[in-house]
Amino acid sequence: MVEKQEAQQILEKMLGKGVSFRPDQWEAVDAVVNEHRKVLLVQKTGWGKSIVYFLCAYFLRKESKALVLLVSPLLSLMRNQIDMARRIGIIAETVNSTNPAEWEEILERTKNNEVDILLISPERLGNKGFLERFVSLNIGLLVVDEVHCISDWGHDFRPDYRRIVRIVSNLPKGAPLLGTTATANNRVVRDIEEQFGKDLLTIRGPLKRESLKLQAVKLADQSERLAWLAENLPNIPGSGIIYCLTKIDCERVARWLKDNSINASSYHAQMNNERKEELEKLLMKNEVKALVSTVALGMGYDKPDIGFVIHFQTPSSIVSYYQQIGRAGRSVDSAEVILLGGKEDDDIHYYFFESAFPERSIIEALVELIGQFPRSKVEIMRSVNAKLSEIDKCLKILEIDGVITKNGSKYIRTVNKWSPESERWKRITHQRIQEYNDVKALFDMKGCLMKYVVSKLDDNLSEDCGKCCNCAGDFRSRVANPQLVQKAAKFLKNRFVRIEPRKRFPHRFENMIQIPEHFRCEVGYSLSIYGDAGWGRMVKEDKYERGSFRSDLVAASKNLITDYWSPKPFPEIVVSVPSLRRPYLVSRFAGALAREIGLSYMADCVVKKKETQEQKAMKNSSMQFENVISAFDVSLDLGGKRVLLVDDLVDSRWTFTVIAYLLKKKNAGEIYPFALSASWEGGYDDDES
Amino acid sequence: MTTSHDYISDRHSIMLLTIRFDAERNNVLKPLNLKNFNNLARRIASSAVSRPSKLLELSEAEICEQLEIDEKSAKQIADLLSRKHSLAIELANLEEKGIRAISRAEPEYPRKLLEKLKHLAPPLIFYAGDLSILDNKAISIVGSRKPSQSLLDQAHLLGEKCAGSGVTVVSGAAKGVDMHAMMGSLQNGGLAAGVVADSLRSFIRKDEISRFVRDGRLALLSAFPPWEKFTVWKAMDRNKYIYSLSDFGVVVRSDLEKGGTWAGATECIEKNYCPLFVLDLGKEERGNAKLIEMRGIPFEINEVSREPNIYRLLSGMIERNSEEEPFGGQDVKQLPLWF
Repeated sequence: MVEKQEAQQILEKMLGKGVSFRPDQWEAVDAVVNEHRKVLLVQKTGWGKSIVYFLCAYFLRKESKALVLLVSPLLSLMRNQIDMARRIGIIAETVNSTNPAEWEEILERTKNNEVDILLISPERLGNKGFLERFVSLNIGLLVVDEVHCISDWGHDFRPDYRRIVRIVSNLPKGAPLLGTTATANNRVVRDIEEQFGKDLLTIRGPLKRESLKLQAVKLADQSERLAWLAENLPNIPGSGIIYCLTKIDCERVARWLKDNSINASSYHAQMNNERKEELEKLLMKNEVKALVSTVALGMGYDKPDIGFVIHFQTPSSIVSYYQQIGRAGRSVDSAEVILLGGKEDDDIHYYFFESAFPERSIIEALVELIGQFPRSKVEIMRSVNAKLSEIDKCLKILEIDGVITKNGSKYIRTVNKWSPESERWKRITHQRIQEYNDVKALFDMKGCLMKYVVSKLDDNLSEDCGKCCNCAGDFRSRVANPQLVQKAAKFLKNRFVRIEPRKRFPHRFENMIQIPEHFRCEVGYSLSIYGDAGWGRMVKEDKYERGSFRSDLVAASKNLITDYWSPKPFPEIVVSVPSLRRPYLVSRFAGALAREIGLSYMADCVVKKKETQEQKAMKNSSMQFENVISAFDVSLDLGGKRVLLVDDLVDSRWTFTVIAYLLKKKNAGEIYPFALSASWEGGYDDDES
Repeated sequence: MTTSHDYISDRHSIMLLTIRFDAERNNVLKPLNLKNFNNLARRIASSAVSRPSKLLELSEAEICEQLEIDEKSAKQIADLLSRKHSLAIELANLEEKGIRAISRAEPEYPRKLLEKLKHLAPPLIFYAGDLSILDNKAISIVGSRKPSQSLLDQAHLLGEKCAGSGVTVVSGAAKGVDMHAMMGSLQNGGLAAGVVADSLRSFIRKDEISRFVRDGRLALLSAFPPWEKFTVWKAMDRNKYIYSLSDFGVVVRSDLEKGGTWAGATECIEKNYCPLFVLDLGKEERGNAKLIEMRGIPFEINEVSREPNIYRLLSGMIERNSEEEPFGGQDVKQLPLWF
């Protein structure tokens, strides 16, 4: 039995003389350590959740040599917590995807009782080899950080959290559990209680953040918001975070700010860990004005003096909005929180809402197919017309739900029954749309913004915050400088998309897996992202409404190719991708482009033998390849000539890959692919300039 | 108190006390064997603890005091019970594969095992599928792994007859006679239960098996954790569960004085788990002939072919042939359920 007095002494030893418990902290430790309860802790960021489980770790170690197993979703969080644990004398280690070389040693030390807290990512619990290792450990407490992730209604549902739910729902009585989150409204709490069992003890604290000053500014399009940032950011004190919805937006905003002499960097999940750590440190030391980030920088990033959080685009829900603004102003008296929003936000969100869950027909087809007899992924890809990413998503969900399992290279059906959950998914999607509308309501709100935000999290303030734009008046401008808007529009028209060459066949082809190097494309470019605020909107209009591409696009393409890109050695001829459906659309453009650059255009060099289905409708690599390879023919010998290969849209890159392969068979030299637009998921923002 | 009892906690407690997890192969910690578990169970039942579930909330000192056992035993029990999080991970893992566990303390535990085996009934059963098919009328059909094709066909026919009579086929799910009898039932819309020794996990991965489990017509069960390795002892041990779960046993073919079928059949006769029928194959088949000599009830396949309801056929034969009363169930309600 641990008494509060003793805990108080240890707390002071860890954090310094005179430090005392914040409200609820001791209650949480007491429930876990003395009563072995399952506890759900809902407290605002910065409240001090970590110290609760560090104290639990200390006492569990002392009483029963037991280990705390902490499941945490993000690496930045782990790094912070390990540093903090070490500072106060708790031995914390982590096994995650970044340190495989150390796993053996750490698990061995853990088994020998030399570790107090082991931090793991949810994915580790999904790994069978690991599960077995964890079983042999003397675990005294399971901590699930950011526990709202287990809720379907939470903003951040992850399939791997399903396995955590399965473990938690099998926890015997008297096995302590601590779930923590800063952001959960009543609905999420109820959902967690339902999944964790009814004897859960929920401890909730107040959510209002005293130091935050909120303002919401509605601006028309991306150019206006870029302009607004360039003008206002230098005047906002301190350093902070600008949140964007997509990786490519992060890259573009960061590049724009740099062009405007503002020290900013982009930060997103696809970066390697060294780079991420380096960026986190720069921000920590205020050596960068802003990190332009996706949600990847968020949960658990613990910088006490973040001066501002700006949303370049509207976040998906109040829950995630609150989570992100919670990064700001922890130890400073005042921090600015500004929500920008505009046109493309709806497009992006609805795209994510619609692609969050697999299509019912696809997941049903997979269950049916694997139920017939075991199949490999290639076999599945060949018989189901869906994108590889979609198939992977389905397979992952089915595997975690125990509907299928891997047997060697084949997927097999388990004995567990299955029925489609599309009704549930529909309900969740509907809920998400409503939660998004709750955030958008901030733009037209007349009353106190903070009061509204915390009320949506089911914490009702009795008084207005007195600080937000509606309580105390605007503290930042609501309009953008027209000259800067023009400059931003021009900037957006010069952000190009790089097309990386494909290196592998989708499956064994003419007995090869790798595409031999002398049959590959070079790096190529796309002028825009289809439908974007730069050239993408014009491409879309011209393709489907006008029926021909404007000379503006020819000129812009020429500039990209000759000035920005200028591939070496430069191409000698222009060849276009033929189409039976719109025979002149691309060929006319390619001819005009060839004239503009001063190259000869080889009309009808590549011919189409039969109608192929539109690439966008052919969803996975395997099917696209079969479709495309048989469709084209190269009529003449290229005699070593270097080729600029032109198409209107690039999506899977298979058309370019296949035609390049066929051209090279006819002795073509280097092949440089060029497209007017890339699809949303296609290329990379070219940030090497 | 009439509130519904927390049987799942009883199960958790019994699992922690009696199971060694796969990852603990080299641990010094020793789970309780059947005899020690039964001793502990008696103490639990006769003390204030009263149910295994209560142990989950007791400290080592409380266990020592309330069960009136020595400190060393109390420590062993407390150490076994401290593996709660490991148990949750293991259970989640099994659940994903479609494997569940049930303890002797639960009402859904197969009644027939408790009634016939009493304290020798396994404290835990691991299973896949729907156990309620064992509450049905049941006939076990067993035999050697490599008999003639004609005998395999006869096993299949027996299974088919069970399907037609609404009777569950129970078998050891081994190659040969066992599988043919089970498939005879399953392929004709009937029910089957297989008692396996070590292979639950690999068994349910087989395509032709897993579809029947999903349908709810096939249950597979084992008295041993699915991760434990095969031993001859386990294979033999399962015979008593096969016969105990059945109203009648049918031996299609047995070797003489060797092999699992022989061992199981003689044990069944000796312990009287259920009336045992033996296919009469003449003097040439010495195993079957000897079993008939030892009180096995002979029958011929023609009799089965003629009669549409195999259960009625066998019941009728008992009345004609058996000198002894068929096994009558005792009133188990007087025993503590999990005792």
